[in-house]
Amino acid sequence: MIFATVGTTSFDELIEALDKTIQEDEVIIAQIGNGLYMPTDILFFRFSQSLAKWYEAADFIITSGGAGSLFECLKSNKPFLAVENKSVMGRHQRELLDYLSKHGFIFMWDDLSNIRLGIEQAKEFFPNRKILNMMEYYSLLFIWMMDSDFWGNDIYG
Amino acid sequence: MRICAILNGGGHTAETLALVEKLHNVEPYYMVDAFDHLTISKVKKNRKLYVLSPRKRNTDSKIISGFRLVLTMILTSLYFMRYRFRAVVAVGGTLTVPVMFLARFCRIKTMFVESVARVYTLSMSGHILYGKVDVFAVQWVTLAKQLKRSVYGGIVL
Repeated sequence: MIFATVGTTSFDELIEALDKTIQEDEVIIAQIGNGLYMPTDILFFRFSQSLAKWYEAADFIITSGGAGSLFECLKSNKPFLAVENKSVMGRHQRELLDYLSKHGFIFMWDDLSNIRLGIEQAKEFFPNRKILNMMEYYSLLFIWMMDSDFWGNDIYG
Repeated sequence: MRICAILNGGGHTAETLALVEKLHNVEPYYMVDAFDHLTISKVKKNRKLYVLSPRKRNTDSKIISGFRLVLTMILTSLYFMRYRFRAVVAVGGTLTVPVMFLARFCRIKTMFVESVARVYTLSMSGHILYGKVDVFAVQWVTLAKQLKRSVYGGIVL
């Protein structure tokens, strides 16, 4: 089963491309957000409180370039394909997608008219998983902030 | 200690929830847009602070969003009086800038984390809040190298 997700906004171009190129022996389930395009051959729903169970059930995931879905896909250890949503404000997804694909963390595909080729290539892609082992300092930062003097003390020194 | 976390929908919500989970000894209250049902469903029942999101970008008039902003500011200051938060944390989005400035005015500590989607450039709320909050954390080393007054915190998701 292939699971496609577009996040909280809409991404009609991706859903349309998947709907038109679906193969006979294939099941595609899509989360379409606020999209206006109604797919005919693929199963879809709009929103879900948590997509974790869908990621678990899927063999392959297609995701938009939103940071939330990208990192959930990275954690799910499933093969996945990332497609940039060009209609979001300021095209801010490009920055993260370029960085992640340059370092081999994800496989990105731009050509929506030829998306089957992207899916074939993404299935053979072996990702670099180093990114999930990075250190986090937020708890320390928070404690430091609460301990520093109240008002007027320049914590940046 | 009681803290206030601002949820702005979509990827921002996922990042803020992950950030709050990493902080120790905190009792988080979540500020949510009263019409954002998906975000509301992700938060515990008695930990919600309802406000109105001031501006949905490019979709509504300036007069209505100005009215919403004033109402949100009044509601937020009432919440601040009622709950006496020690800190406010946020990961960007519409509500961030006005609430953070109000928190500074009320002498509450503020922690801003730049969204994980920003690798080389700052977001709009990041631009406005840079140097004006107690902790300005970024999630990528590439961005931390450019900005002298930011702290590198690692990927929060």
